Amino acid sequence: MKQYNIVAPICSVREVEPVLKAGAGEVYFGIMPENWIKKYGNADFISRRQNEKAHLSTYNDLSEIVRIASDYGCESTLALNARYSENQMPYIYEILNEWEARGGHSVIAADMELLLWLDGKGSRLRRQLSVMTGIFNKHSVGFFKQFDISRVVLPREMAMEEIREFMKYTNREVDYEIIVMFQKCEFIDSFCRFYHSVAEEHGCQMTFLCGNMKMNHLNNNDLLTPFCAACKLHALRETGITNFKIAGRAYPAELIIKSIGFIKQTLDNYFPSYVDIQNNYKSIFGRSCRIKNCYYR
Amino acid sequence: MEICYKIDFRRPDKIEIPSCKRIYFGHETCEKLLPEFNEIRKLLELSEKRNLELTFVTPFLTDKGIEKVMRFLEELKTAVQDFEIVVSDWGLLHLISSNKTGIPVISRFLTGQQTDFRLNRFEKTPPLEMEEHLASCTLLKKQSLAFFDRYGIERFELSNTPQTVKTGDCDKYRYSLYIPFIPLSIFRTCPENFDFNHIRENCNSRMCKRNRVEWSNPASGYKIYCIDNALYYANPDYEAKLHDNMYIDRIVCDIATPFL
Repeated sequence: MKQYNIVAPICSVREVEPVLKAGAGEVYFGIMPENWIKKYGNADFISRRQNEKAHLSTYNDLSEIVRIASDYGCESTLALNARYSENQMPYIYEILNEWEARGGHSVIAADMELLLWLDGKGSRLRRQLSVMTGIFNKHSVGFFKQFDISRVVLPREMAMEEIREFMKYTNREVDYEIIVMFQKCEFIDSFCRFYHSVAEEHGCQMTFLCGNMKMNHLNNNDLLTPFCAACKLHALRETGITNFKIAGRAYPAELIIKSIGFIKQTLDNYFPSYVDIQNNYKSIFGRSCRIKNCYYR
Repeated sequence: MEICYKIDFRRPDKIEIPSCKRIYFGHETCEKLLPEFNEIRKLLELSEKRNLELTFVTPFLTDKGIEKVMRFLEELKTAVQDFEIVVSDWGLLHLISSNKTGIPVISRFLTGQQTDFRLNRFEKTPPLEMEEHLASCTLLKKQSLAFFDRYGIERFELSNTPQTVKTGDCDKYRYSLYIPFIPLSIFRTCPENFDFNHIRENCNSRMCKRNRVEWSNPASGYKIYCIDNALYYANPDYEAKLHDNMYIDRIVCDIATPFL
């Protein structure tokens, strides 16, 4: 079976080395330069993740990340996976030019104009299609092949059976990636129009009232009982998916490192049964997993 | 200005459709709620009798969903010569373009409009750049529009958001404005008993009654509507949008779901 790749988030240069040492083969991150914040604030308009703390802030950080990742023989990927308005594009192009000039490997994208621009300038950056594009079927892969994509990140709202069906007939000229830890939300990433700011509740954190019934959506604490797909990892791998992403940019680095270890142990088949995987979850995260927090049921 | 009505294909005889030239049918958020061809017989009779043009609305699609849509379109082609297909899925656009089936229209789920009702308050004192961004549709950019030419796209759909909508100044494209419901987010399946914590894993679409359930979020000041597997809010006032945007030439009134 083809080697796997664990893709892990970082939000500062100092996190790169520990994350790679823990077993990640690739790091991903966003950048939120000061001039962007002045114009557009620190909501999720640049990388579908709010807060400058979840992002790098300077171009020198980009160079450092490439250097460290390359020392480990690993890849680094810049997330520019929001969809931008016309006036925002010059900022995005500047970031992409810097990223490429500093040796960056890949970019996670969802904006068609950005993909067309990369294509037009003959960029060598590899293009990963974000969950924000909502690739639920093989024909969508065919559509985006026109943009010279190298990887597709599958929607985290797919059921296991749908993933099997999708992978059976889909184009194997590109790689596939799937999210396996943290932050599952019942809203579909690519169709969620709630904006995500630092100061306000996200749509999935709002409390709604329906008559006398109170509805809390994401009321569990992802930091205490993380969402995970560990029990499905081998089945996912059998479909041909080789890249396994840890979500949770700006989550505590220790938690990210623990989760890389957990996913790696499971992929390396240390555990013969679901019960063993679940026991390991408990020993690592300190609480029993919950079926409600399972990915790809 | 063309006024169209979006109807529930399962109940065309239950709703009085006002005078119009076109009706919308299908489903914009759930593939399980798309019709089989034999379920639109009454709709086809009605369309023939009143000489109504048809627009078939589709949601994002899984591989099974896309097969279902393509089967449906093959049959629809035998009954209707020209019809529009509103696409919310890039794969479907790719496929109908290569099959030369129907006239493709880009749905309001793909145009990249900012619809969160909380963004409207930025309009009070936003920096100019932010104001521009919130009024923009992120898909409607120069190179992207040129790219869509190869798919024969001439129409894009919009929601009637509280803030201004800018569509660009190219007279090649036309826009449809949906009223009154504005989508906020889509669930994969309906929340069971409208409880977020219980999402149906295997829903039976035949049980779905297309109910509109009112929710509230006291902090927002807006009523939220859970319609099937999606959340909406409403803004029935659209006059200002038409005044601001000369390329909106069609209003799509959703009468499939009761509003008042």
